[in-house]
Amino acid sequence: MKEINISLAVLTCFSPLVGALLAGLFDQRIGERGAKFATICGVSIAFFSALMLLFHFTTESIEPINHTLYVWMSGQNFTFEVGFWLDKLSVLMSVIVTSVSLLVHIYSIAYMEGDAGISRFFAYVSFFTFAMLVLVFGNNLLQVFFGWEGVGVASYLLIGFWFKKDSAANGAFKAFIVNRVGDFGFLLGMGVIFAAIGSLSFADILSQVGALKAQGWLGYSLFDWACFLLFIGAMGKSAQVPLHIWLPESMEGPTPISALIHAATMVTAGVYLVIRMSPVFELSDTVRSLILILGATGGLFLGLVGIVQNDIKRVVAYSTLSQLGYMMAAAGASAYGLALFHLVTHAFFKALLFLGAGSVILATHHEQDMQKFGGLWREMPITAATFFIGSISLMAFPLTSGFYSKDAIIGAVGHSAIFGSGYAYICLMLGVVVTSIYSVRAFYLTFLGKKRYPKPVTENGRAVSFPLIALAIPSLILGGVMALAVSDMSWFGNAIFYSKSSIKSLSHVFAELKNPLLLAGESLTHLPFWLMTISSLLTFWVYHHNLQSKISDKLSVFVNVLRHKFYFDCFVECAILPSVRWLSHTFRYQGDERLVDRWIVMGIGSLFPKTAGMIRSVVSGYLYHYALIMLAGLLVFVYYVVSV
Amino acid sequence: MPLLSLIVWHSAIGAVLLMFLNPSDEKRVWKVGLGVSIIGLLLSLKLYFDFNAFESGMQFTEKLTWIPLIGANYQLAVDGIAVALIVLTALTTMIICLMARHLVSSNLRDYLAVFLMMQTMVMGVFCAQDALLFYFFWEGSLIPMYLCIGIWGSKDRAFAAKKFFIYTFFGSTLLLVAIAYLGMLAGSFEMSKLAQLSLGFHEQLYLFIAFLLAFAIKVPMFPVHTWLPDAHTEAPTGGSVLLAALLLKVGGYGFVRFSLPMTPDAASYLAIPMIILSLIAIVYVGLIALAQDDMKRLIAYSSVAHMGFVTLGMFGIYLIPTDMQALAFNGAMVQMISHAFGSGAMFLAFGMIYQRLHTRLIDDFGGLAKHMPYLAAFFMIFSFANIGVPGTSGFVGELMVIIAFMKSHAWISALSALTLVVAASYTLWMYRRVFFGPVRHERVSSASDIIPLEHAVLWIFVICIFALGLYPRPLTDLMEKGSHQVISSATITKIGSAS
Repeated sequence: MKEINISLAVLTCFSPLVGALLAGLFDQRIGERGAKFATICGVSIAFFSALMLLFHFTTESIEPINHTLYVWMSGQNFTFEVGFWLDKLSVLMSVIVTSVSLLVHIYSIAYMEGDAGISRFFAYVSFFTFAMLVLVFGNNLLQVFFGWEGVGVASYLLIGFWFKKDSAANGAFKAFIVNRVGDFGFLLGMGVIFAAIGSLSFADILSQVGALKAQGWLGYSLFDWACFLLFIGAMGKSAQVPLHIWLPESMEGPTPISALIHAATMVTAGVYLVIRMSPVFELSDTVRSLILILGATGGLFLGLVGIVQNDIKRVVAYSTLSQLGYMMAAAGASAYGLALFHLVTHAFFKALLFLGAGSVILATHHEQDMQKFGGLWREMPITAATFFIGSISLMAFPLTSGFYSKDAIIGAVGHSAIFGSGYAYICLMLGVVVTSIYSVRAFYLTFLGKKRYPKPVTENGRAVSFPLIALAIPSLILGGVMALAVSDMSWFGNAIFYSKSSIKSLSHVFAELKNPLLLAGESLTHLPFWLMTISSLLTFWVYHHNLQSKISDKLSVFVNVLRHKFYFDCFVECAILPSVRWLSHTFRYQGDERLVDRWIVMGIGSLFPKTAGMIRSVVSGYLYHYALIMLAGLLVFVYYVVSV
Repeated sequence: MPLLSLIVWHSAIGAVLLMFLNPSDEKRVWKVGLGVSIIGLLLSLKLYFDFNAFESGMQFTEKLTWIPLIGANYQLAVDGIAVALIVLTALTTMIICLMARHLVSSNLRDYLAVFLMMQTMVMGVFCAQDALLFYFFWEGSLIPMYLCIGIWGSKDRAFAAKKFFIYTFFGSTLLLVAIAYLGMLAGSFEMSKLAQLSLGFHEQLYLFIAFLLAFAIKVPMFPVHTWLPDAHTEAPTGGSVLLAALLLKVGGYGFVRFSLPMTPDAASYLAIPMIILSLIAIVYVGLIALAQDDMKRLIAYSSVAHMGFVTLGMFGIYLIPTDMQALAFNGAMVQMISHAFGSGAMFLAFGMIYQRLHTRLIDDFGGLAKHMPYLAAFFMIFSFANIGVPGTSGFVGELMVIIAFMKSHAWISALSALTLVVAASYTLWMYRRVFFGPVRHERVSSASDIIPLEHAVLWIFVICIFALGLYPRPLTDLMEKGSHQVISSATITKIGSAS
């Protein structure tokens, strides 16, 4: 049985790579159709073997499997491996990754139709899937880092897929560099753990986590530092404030990519890392407070920015930032299971929203401004219906998937006692209002009201509708089903670790999920439901009566702040970039070229002709004379030194 | 069979043979030159497979009397570190010879002869076990490089060649003094004997500084790095590749064979300044690379920054606890090898662009990926190797050095890890300006994509980059015993010990 599961994991992980290599290296031979076929085959195989793995792990009680593929490097007292760590957490993640990836592959057939370099596109997407699976399955932190950077590279390549556009090239560059700032933290965090434990494998980290309790630097323990540094890595990848600035710009990539990478999978890698390292994070209340505060801040304030965006993809992007904040806040409140729960439901409904937005964009010949849409539901009923399902799931309408995960997160944060939980609770509660406003606004501007788009539009065919419908189903019902599993805090085994105090404070929040229908009924008396309903209806009313411009005139001060995205980009462009530029130019011209090269080096160099000129008056000026003198001088010098 | 002598001298013989050929018969000249370099590669592979990595100590020792008057011997031997560098040398020369006919338009015969001579000298440096012989090869490698820049270089080649020669020659004079001094004390120039000499602290300090000047200029370390950008920009493509892949390693190798084992107390005393210079190389020089507008200069500065990890790892062994020493030192050695693939490949790929467009300025490009998609793909892989993305060769050495410091000197780890951001910035910012964006200059649209020969050569680099990045274990295992030897002789005090 163990062997079968390992083989399945190998198949899951490597078949997308085979597809990517075939499409990338042999595109001349197999052509566009061949490339599509190879990659879709690869991802399908991965998806079905991942499903079988999940089936095995949910129906039978299997201990986590730790399987070493090969030893990457070893020394006298350390070993770095490449291998698989299979438990419910990694298997569940692999199903999410491969299922969304498969649907995105299919969707891209239609979306990328007629684009130059389709083989390249499919190769990149399959390579991304492979890298993400390496990250998910890794049995040690180093391998996670391999996948971590691999998805970063794939994301860079895909954001810059239309490299002839300056905006795409800049967006790709920005995404990679900001992620690298996070990776700086990740690498150092690994270093701290390696220094304390002497290993990076999860098995050793789990068994020797006590070694991290040793004294660290500046009055913080080693686990504080490890968590803090790893969290910086998670901030980069999962776009937490203030390292979120790359995500909106990543929308320059093709829309299917935004669905796969920048909504469903890659951006959740940071959340996954925190969940995976929960035994370490449970030790550090300080860092969890930080996670909670930053997560909740993102959850509210980045959602607010989404309200003023007119580009449909940017609205969904800011919504992603806000939802990532919810996940991180859940992890900060020690509710790792709920963070994972929201990660899963969000993967489906957000991929659905992105693909729905893509469907509209495709039908309107790459128009992304919502103010130019309007009333599209008549001509695009499937897109409108599925987008509606995605939106209500995002708004946490009772019985939808998003409801179960988000409601539980708000409850868990409300019951948390660590520093900052009060603030976080208020943020997340207000976040519900914000989510409703931008969701209703986006839906109204795109699908309802008067049609403003001049030309007729149509649905985009089966390759688009199928993924939309396939994603709409889990967006509606998956939450209720998965709630049953999540409600048991020990369902994930030792993949997710809760300290005793966390179990005590959170157990009844989890227990509420045991009866999903009852919970949906009860929620009618809860504050979030009414906040959502009232703000949705208000927003609908405002847009129906066309009052939005009046309101934004009244609130112009706030709208301005939101339009400038709280001035984060401004800060980077006006403060950080110029100072780096100034620094590098000063170093180049003043430091290196002037001081080091011209003054010191060439200065010494210029002494020689002068000295030579002085000597010339004494000596003949023939080269061999100099050589003789040099040799004699050397001998005298050596003799002198030796005899002394 | 004297395998090491064959490895060292076969290419010199080949170079002499080339001189008897008719220079206008380029095809024949090229075939002979390439043949000699392939023989070199096969010989070095034989060395690699015959070498026993589990045995410590020097292997394949050859010893003949050279100058009996002063006790200098012709003595060759290798350990794992040397074997790795020898294979690298043979591979690099082979690639340069393979590309020579395509890249060089005049004096192909002399060009090949110069590079084969260079191979002899560099191989000699890696094999020599006699300090005087080492010095002979060390200085010998200057002349072919001087000729290479001076004859086949671009516009300012005369200045660059002179600067290169005087700079490095100046550094080497004191090396000779130091070697002579040690030789007279020991009555022999055998390097293992020199390493066992008992030396006072001040003696060691003077010797260390004499060594330092020679090796630091070659590596190059901050602040004696300014010859490198000039030499690189003016050198022909083959020269740049060889300079980056091999000649810089000669400097690092000098530290390993001289400074660390012969003057351990001085090295330990000066470890902190050396580490600070290395950190300056990594961060400050990296920032300078960001401000470059000449592609070749940028890659050259990135070379300096990456070589900072070599010196950082080597001198790090004096600061960190014993269980981390091997990690840091091996990391430095891996970085020496991996840098050859990252930087060497970038210089080669740039040479292919230069041949088509005849400009080095980044602003003259833009949108090159549209017209040279395959080259753009290769260059992307080399860029990621240069950045040190995991899975490529560039990551391995940097990871080892960075995490080795974490236990005792976290601030060094943190500063050196800044390279993650800095290296990514200058490399990808260059990539973005050269390959991405709209085509701005008409010249760019005239560029044709790479030909099959270029494909083949770049594939060699790609394979090496991924092989080393995905499975570095063979390399680290190969060098482990040698590194261990160096570390143990570098960390025992020599003051007052019996000679």
